[in-house]
Amino acid sequence: MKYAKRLEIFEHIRAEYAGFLTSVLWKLTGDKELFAEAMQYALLGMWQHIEKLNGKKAGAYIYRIALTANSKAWRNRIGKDGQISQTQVSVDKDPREKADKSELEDIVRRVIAQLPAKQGRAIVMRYLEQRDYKNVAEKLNCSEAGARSNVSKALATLKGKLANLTERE
Amino acid sequence: MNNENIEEILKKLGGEDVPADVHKIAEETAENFSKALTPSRQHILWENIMKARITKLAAAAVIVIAVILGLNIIGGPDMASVAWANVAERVEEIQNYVYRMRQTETSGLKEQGFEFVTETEIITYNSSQYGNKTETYRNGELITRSFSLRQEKEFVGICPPAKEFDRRPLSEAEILEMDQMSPRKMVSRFMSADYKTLRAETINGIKVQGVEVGAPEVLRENPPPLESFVGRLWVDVETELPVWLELEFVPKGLTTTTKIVVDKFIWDVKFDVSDFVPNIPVDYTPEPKRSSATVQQKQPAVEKEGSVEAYLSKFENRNLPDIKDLRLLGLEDDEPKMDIALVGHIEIWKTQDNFIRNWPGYSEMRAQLYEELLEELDIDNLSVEELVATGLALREKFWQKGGCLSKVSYPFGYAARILFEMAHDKDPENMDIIDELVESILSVELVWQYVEDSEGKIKNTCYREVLTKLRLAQFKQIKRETEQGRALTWKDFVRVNDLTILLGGAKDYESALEVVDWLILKADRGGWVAYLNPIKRMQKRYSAGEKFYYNIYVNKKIDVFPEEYRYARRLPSFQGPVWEKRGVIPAHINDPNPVWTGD
Repeated sequence: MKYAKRLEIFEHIRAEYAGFLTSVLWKLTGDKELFAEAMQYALLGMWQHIEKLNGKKAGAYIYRIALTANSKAWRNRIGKDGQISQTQVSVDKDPREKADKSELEDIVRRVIAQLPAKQGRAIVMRYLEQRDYKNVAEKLNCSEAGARSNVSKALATLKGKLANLTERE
Repeated sequence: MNNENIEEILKKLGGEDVPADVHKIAEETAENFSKALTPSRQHILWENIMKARITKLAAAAVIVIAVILGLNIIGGPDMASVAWANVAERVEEIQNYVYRMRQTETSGLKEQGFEFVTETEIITYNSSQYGNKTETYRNGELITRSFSLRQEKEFVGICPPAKEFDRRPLSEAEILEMDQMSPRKMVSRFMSADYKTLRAETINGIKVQGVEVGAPEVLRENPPPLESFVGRLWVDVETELPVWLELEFVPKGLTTTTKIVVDKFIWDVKFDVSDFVPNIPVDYTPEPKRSSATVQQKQPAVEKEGSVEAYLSKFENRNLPDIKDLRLLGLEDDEPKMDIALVGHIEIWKTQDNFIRNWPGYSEMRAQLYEELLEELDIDNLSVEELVATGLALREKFWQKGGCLSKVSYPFGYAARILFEMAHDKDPENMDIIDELVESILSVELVWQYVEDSEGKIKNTCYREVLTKLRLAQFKQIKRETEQGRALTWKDFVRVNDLTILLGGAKDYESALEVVDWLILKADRGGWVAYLNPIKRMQKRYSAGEKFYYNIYVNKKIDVFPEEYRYARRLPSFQGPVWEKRGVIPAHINDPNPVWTGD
């Protein structure tokens, strides 16, 4: 595909999904610095896979790109020992914002970034986008029971991971 | 915390409004990204390469070479011409000259991206009376200084990195060879060949005219079989003496392109006899001689290739499951390949480290990978045999995706380790499975890495911990089984030898020496007497509280360097991907009287 054409498609797709990416990535990161990083990864993912985004499955790919971008951003922040690096914690946070924010919410966000792809999508659709199960099933291309099962599995995984994490911390 | 609590938190997150300043950040990020968009190749470079300082240098080096070889040569139609008949005659008259030769070997772009380059530079002082003095530099480091002395009929080689030297007689055949390969003879052969004249040029400010020859006889009188050859010679139009000579060829059956550029000629210089006196520093020692006695006195069971069971042979002919569509950790399959040259082993290693630095650690990803493998491959219900076959397929996929020179390969290496760990849990006494587990760990974990943007090194604790534990368990089992009558094998040697290196690396010299003593004691019965030389050197070094390492496997293919460095920084047992493993053989089979090196 020629460069000019790629650019045209990219700008079109970017405009179409800007609201979705902003909303989902903000809810998944809850931190401006992390959000900006995830957004950059998402844009890069869109650019690298522009051919796939120009087809019928664009919506499914956007989820994949958004979740991968979120995982990458979190992974950069979390060290190899699984702990958040102190040197990477944003230094310019508003102290009030920091004080008000629930630490538990941050932990949940961090753990969502580590979920298997399908489970991550299920959680995002069901809770962050507040879709009903019928809609989640359509998006995940499975039955409604399958969608419930994916959400349920994801919750169980989250619970397990949270237990591990809170034990360590 | 129960599911209801989690659901509550998730619902709260879902109900959050996006603050206005976050919308602004999103818009600015997108605008900046759009502005930064350049054609795809440059974009890939920005994303994947420019973070790596050393890779940038490699790119720059390649460009510099291109400039030297090409752009510095400026054409012009109105220059004087050379009387070619005089050139060979002029060169033949000259008795003493100096020149620089640069040899570049390029692997060509590999399927998984990257090409691998070795650069060697040799300065030669050639005297019809005294002989040759050469100084060889590899990737900028002086490797050897050698003297081929005509009158004394002696060769003296000095190796500064090893502080060693070698002295031996120089035969008439070697003197003839030295003369034949000299640029002077080469020029003569150029002039005798069927050449075509190139247009006049300027090289480094000197007006030159060139000829091009396609016959490999220019290289030497009886050239080796070549896939391709081209030679070019540029001569100063005023002095009619060579200024630049270049040869490019691919040896038959190989894929490595060799390019030789000879330049910086200083014709008709004055030499003194003192220029050809070796002056070996007093603290240099003679290079260890090859001793045939050690190997040939005994009849080792590992004497012939056929009698040595390949180390990872147990599961070799397994049918591997088809996992080509498997994606792990959401990483995309179509990661762009990087067509960039890595010059020398340090650039290869530093580039590997730049990738590995960004991989999450195994322990961090294990749980997530396990869940994905459960979902995709139902691994909890696989038999030991199936776990092994799937593990092998995953490990090969790791290599196919670029091994340690890739952003997206690591999930497959980690996944292979998970499967072999599961197989090991189910069949803990199976030493072949432990071997595969060790190989899988070695695939993704290097002994040490460079610290980012520094020459500092960090050791991988995995070697001190997991790998030592596995090899120690095997050692105990080998001792137990052999006490009960089981015969020792080559594989046992490979396993125990790894343990000596691991213990020595951890500076646990006391334990290491116990294992070394066992290796010496069992050498005759086990059939590894060919390795007594390095094992005894190891014993000496460990006794003195010094580290030691040597390789027991070498690659029998001759065109593997410099790519071979990709597979370094691991234990001696390491075999690598299938395409590498095919060429790897025990050192004593490659050469019955190997010269052992260790550090």
